[in-house]
Amino acid sequence: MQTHPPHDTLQDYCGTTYAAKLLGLSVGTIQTLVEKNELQAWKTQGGHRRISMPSIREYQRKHNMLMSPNESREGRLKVLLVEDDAVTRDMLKDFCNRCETPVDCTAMSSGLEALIDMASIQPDVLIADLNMPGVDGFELLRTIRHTPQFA
Amino acid sequence: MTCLVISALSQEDIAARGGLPEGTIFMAKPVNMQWFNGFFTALIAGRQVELHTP
Repeated sequence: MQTHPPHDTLQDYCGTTYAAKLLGLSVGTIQTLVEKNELQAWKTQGGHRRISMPSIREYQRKHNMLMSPNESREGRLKVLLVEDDAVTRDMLKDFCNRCETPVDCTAMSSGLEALIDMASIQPDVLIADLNMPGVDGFELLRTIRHTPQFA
Repeated sequence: MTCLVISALSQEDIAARGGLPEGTIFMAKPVNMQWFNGFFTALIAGRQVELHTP
């Protein structure tokens, strides 16, 4: 695994959580695929993994995942849920997946994860808790508001 | 992008920490699922109106 990105554009990479969602695999499996070099990835100076989107698309193609998740979710309301409390997070995520309205929910446990994957997910709705360790809801919202791409 | 905050913090606590950006929707915890159902329905309905408005 490289330690620096080949190029650092917003849409060309995502975090481990979103990669797992895109491929329908666990975070642990994504980490294994990275170690086996089946997915291209690098680490930031802070030690966070970034997975290359082209390598995710290549993996989908190689494993006959013909319908990309983004295509299959076209027309659905894209929701990014950021909540550190696992009980509330799972309850809301399960509700989104069960409800009759076409909602596609990606759940994350920290504001930092959300900021990493915001550009890849391009959510219609952000649902965030305020009290969270690290990047809390206040900082998350302020950062988003000051980023023209998301404002 | 629509921003919704769910929190057990009081309005006073939120104001003391700098408040929320304008346009942010607030919902007090505990989470009410029926409220969420209405929230999503309203968003999807609004989107349909946008799509079919010339």
